[in-house]
Parts: sequence; structure tokens; C-alpha cells
Amino acid sequence: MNEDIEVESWRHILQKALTSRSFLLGAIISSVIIFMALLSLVWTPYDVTKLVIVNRLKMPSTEFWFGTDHFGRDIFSMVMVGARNSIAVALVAVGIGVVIGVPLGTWAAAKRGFVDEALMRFNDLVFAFPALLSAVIITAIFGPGAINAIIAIGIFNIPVFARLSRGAALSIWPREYIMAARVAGKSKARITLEHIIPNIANILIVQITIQFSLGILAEAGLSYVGLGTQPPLPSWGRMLFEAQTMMSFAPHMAIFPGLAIVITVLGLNLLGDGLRDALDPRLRRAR
Amino acid sequence: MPLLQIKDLSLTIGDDVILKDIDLTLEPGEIRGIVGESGSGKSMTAFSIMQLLPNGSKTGGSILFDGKELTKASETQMCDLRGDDLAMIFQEPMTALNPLKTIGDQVAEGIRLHGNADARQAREQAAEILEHVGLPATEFPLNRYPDQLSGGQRQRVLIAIACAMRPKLLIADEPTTALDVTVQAKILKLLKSLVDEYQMGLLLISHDLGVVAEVADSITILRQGEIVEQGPTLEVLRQQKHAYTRQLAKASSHQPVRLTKPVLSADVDKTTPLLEVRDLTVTYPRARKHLFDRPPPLKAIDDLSFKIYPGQTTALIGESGCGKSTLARTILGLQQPASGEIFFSGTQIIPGTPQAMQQARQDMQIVFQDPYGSFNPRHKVSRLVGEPLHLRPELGKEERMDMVEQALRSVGLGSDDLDKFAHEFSGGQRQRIAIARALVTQPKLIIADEPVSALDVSIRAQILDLLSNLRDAYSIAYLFISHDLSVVRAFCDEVMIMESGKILEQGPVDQVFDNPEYDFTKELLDAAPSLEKYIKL
Repeated sequence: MNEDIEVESWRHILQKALTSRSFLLGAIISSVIIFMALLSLVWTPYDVTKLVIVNRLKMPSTEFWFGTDHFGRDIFSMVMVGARNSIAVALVAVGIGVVIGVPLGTWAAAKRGFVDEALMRFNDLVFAFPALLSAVIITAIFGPGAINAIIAIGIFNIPVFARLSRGAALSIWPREYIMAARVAGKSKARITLEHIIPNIANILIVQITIQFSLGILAEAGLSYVGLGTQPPLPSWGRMLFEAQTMMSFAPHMAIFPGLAIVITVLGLNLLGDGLRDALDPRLRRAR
Repeated sequence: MPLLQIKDLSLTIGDDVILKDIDLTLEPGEIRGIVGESGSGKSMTAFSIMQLLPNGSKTGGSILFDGKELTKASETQMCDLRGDDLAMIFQEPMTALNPLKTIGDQVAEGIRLHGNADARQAREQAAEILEHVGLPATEFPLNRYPDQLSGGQRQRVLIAIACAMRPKLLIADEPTTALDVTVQAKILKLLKSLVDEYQMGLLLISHDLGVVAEVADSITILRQGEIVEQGPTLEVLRQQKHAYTRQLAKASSHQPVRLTKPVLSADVDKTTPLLEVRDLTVTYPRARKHLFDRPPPLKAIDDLSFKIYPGQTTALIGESGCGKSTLARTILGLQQPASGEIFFSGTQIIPGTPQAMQQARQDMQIVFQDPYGSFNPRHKVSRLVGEPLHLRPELGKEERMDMVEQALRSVGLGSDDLDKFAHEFSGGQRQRIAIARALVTQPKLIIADEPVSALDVSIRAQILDLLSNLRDAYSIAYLFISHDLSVVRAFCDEVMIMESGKILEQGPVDQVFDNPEYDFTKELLDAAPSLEKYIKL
């Protein structure tokens, strides 16, 4: 009875996920990063906008945990604030993808025919552009900055969620409980809200964690080329860029923001893997 | 020495005891039917013999096959045996074949794996064996793909694969359950002739006493992992020494009691029919062969007309693909017809206004075959059953709950079930919930699409009783779609026989079944396995 796999309640799924090592590790890493980001709103060890030249290029120590940069700013504080920026950009960008992509995809699945064709071909068109490159173009045209970076990354999340939710919804539509709902006279929009979306939510959640980590990478990439978050606010990508010329004598300037990106992406991917395993036991067995 | 001798076989998976003290023997050339309801361990017995058990299984006892002890055989030894001396066919011929390989290659594969034939010889042998199972190469070339064959033909390919190496033991796990009755009869005949010819032993696993009675020499009845009774088929079925055997036989030929008089069209043809279908045609577009091809559409339903009167139970019988389900979907307004009209209680609903359809939907509900797929797994029973009340927006929350509870009570469930999810119920209970959902708007017509064919016989009997009681209590009319003639005969007032989108004949059940006019109907009636033939002699 394959159907039995899907009927688990969310509480049950969470219980199962908590027994998975990758989910736990991912959850711990992600919550540490998020905690750091939230903490940076109210407190950082040093002010990241203040330049104290006497402290420039200090190696990591008990005073400056991750050392300081060439302007004397504390790198640990900058990583904390950078986490906030990265998460904010990725979160909103994924949000744009979900809020626009999922309705489009489920609409296409419900309507079929011309609407479906047109939407999916448009999707293919957007997909055909390399996402990061196009984001660079968009921010280059509309000017650098966090807002434009969010929009640029968000636009390329739309087809991902549209395509995913359409495919998943199409597999739910022929089910008999959907037929029963149609016999009950419910409209397609209402069926989508009541029956389709709750039943594809698990797939979407996994994709959200993946797109979230991709969003963090994209934000870092855009900031690295100077098109993301603008100074004086620090961001991981620009910290890497600034460290580049000083790699030989101040490697800590590159190592810590680099590690922050790697660990965040790793944590989110582990979280996604663990969630997927908990949501779909068939995949776990296959591995 | 018997071909297969199972002694004290026991099986546990995790903490669950699946099989206990199974003793079973099979001689060459013998057909032994293994009968039981779901969860009785009949398939697990087969998997124990094949040593294809799930992880975490523990077996005890011995399985002696052709002098070899299978419980102690290594995986390598088993690989040599499987597909060679030991073969198995499954229930679902749709998924058991590789869709990307031709039937010739799939049969030849086993021959090359176990025999010492080269590729050309293997293909020749494959052609031979396919011809033997009724797929001659002149009509069914070896380079056909599985999707170009019907269900019965696919099952023949599977039998060819299984029998290519002339196995000593063939295990058939519900080989005909997914097939139409006429096809089932042919496949059973084929299996029987292969057993006689090759002198192989056949373990025929089935839930259907009728099927087993038809072909098996001996029978083993399982319940909850234990053998209840076994012996020569006729002896077991006629003497029915064990209470469970009696219960199973009784449930298999169960006749629900109808308190009210059957509604026959001839008696009530003055009244307004509840449902009237006039000259209905439903078409599907056919695939284009080339860019400018304009193929004529496929007529799934071809100029069909019939009437159902209030309170009448009308059966719709036909083989798979004849358009039964398309008809149901069209009546419910889920599919647009190409032409024709449908009236409900005298109001035209197709073609008609959305308001007329929405109005009619209150009086027209459906029950599906599969009690597992017909519920949203994330909703609770109260919401599942209450869904059709969407059609009555004027009702308040409390009135809704009252109606849901009343519907649940009338199918034998209680208000403590309201907060459960569908997966917390057994198959039979789920079907009750499905019926409750259909009942909640107090409909006048319920379209029941194979409502009992996925259920065990004892549960089938209960659900039939329930449907019958509801019919008497609320004078509900049913359009009862089924392929099971014994159920139709026991339950329905009138019957329509459908073949490729047309209704061949219709009339009172007794009249059609006793004096069928068409060859197709006769064939259908002859092919249906019936237990009565063997028990009441």
C-alpha cells in the first residue's frame, strides 16, 4: 500500500526526522546561524560600521575571535551581520519563488490545455538563462543593492517552484479523493487549496531548503562582484572579495567568511536531506 | 517423494508472527490452491519458498524442494533455482514487465540466463514458448512492447517467461485478479494445460474460492498465518469441516436480503425516471500518426441510452475498457460528452446550466473501488465525510456535524471516529467511510464503481449488506458498476451488459442471466467462476 506512506501527520514526520542524523546536524547548524543573525540585530562584539585603524589586520585572538580586517573591523561581528543579510536576501528570494511559483504551477495543473502550455513554455524560457549570470545583468541594469539582488534571485526561483508544484499537482489530480471533491461541486481553485497544496507541501518544503542554500550562494556571488549588499553593511561575498588581495598575509580575512558560507549551505542541505528522508521513506531505502 | 514439502514453517518479521506451523506438500502435476483473506500469509508462504522475504525476517522449520533444503540454501544457490526450477507469476501484469524491452527479449533473457542457448537459439525458444501460451509470432511478433498488449496478453507473456525453463514448481500469486472474467477463464485454462503437459507443481494463491474450486486439485485454507484446513478441493469445499471454511464459502456466495420489492422498469415506466441518459456519445482524441493526420476520435461511449427509476438498483457489467467508468464520470459532470443529453429527476443537467448540475449533485454521489485512494490523507474523518455538504452552504456548523454523525452512524461507525485519519481504519471501514461521504447529502442516486471488488470476501458481504440496508431505509437508487456477476445477481434489480461503449442488452437480472440473448453475455456468464457449481452438487 504505497498510499500509506503519505498519510503520516506532520508531527509524526517531525518525530521521524529527529531520528535522522543529517536532519539533526542540519537543524543544529541552521539554528546556530539563524541565532547569530538574530543576535546581530541587537548585539555584536564590535560595531561593524566603525573603522578603528589601530586594530587593522589583527590575527585571531581572545580579543578578536576571528581577527580584524584592513580597516580594523572585527571579522566575527561582520560574519554575524553578514549572516543576517544573507539569510534575509535568500529568505525573501525563496519567498518570491514560492508565492508566485506555486500558484502558477498549481494553476497550470488545474487548467491544463493552453494555460498550462503557455506557462510552462514561458518557464522553459526563464530556465534557459543561466540564473546567476542573469541576476548579474538585472542588478547591473537596475543598480546594485540588496533589494535588486533579492528580486533578481527571486525571479529565478519562480520557475523552479512552478515546475515542481505543477508536476506534483498533476500526480494528485487523478486521485479518487479529488474526484470525490469534484463530485461535491467544489471549484478547482478550492480543491487546489484544500487538497492539492497540503499534499504537495512535503515536496515543496524540501525544495525550499535547497533553494534557500542556493539563494545564499547567489547572494554571496552577487556581493562578491559588488552587486549585492552595499557598504557599509558587511556581507560574506564582499568580505571574500576584499580578502582576495590580502590572502598572503591575512588569510583569516578569507577563511572565516568562506567557512560561514560553506557551513551554512552544508547545514541547509543536510536539513533538506533529512527532511526528504523523513517525508519519503522510499528514497532512503534506495540509497 | 513429493516435489515440495513444507514442514513446521514459521516466519516472523520484526516482532510480528506472520506464519505459524505451516505444513504443506505438493506433488508434480498437482495444482494446490492457497486461499485466505488479506493478511492471512498466503503471499508470504510463496515468498518463503522463493526466499524473497523482506529484511528482518526470521524463518523456522523446513522447506524441502526436489530434495533440496531451501531455508538453508545460499543466495547464489537460490539464484540458480529461481527462474529455472522455481518460477513465479504475479497479480499485476501491467507492472511486472519491463516497458522498455520487447516481449521477445524478456522471454529470451531467462532462457539465456539459465540455459546454455546463444542469442539466436534463445529467441527461437522464446518464439516457441510464446506460441505455446497463445501468442503466435505471426500475430504477436517478438519485437512488440508490453504496452502494445492487453492485460491478458501480458499475463501470457509473464507465464511464458516463468515457464520458459520448464520449472518444476510454479507459484502464481493472484494471477487473474486484475483480469476480466473471460480472460481469467482463458488464463486458468492455460495454466492447467501447462501443468498437465510439463508435470509441474502449481501453487495457486487466490482470495477467490470460486477460482480455486475451478482448477485446483487440492486446497489449503489459511487464516492469520495458520492453516485452517487442507485436503482435496471438492472434499474440503463440500464437507466444510472447519467453521472458517464454512464462513468463507458462505461469504463468497453471500446474498444480501432485500426487504423492499425489486424495482423493475416494466412496472414503473409511467413514473419520471431518476436518471435518464439519451443518445450519449463520449469521445477521446486519438494520437496523430503524422503532422497532418486527423484521426477520427475514439468513441468511448457510443450513442447510449438508458433510464434508472427511483429506488432501482441497476448493474452495469462490462469488461475493462468498455467505457463503464467514462459513463460514470460523464453522468457526474466530470467529463464533457460529445453529444447526448442527461436528465436528473426530469431536469436536464447535461448539457445544462451549472446551477442545475450543482443542484443535481446533492442527489447524486459516488463510491469508488479503492478504499485506500479515495481519501485525502491529511484530513480527518469529520472533514472527509462532510465534504459534499459544501453543496449546502445554507447549513450551519452544528447542522453539518449532525449530518456527518448521522451518516457515520448509518454505516455502523461512531462519533468517536470523527477525529481520526483515514489511514487509521481497515479497508472495510474505509469503504464504510466512503459510503458515509456519499450518504451525507441524502442522495437519491449513488454511483458505485466496483465498490466491493477490492475487499476480502467476508468484508464484501458486510458492505453488500450495508448497501442493501441503506437502499431499503432511504430508497436509494444505485448504478452499480461491477465485473462480478455473482455480486450483481445477489444485489441488483436490473442489469445492463456493456461492450465497447454500447449497451448490448438490459433487463431484470434473472431474465438476462437465465436467458442471455447475446453470445457476449453468454460468454461472460460461462466464464464467471462460481462456487455453487461445486458445493451444491
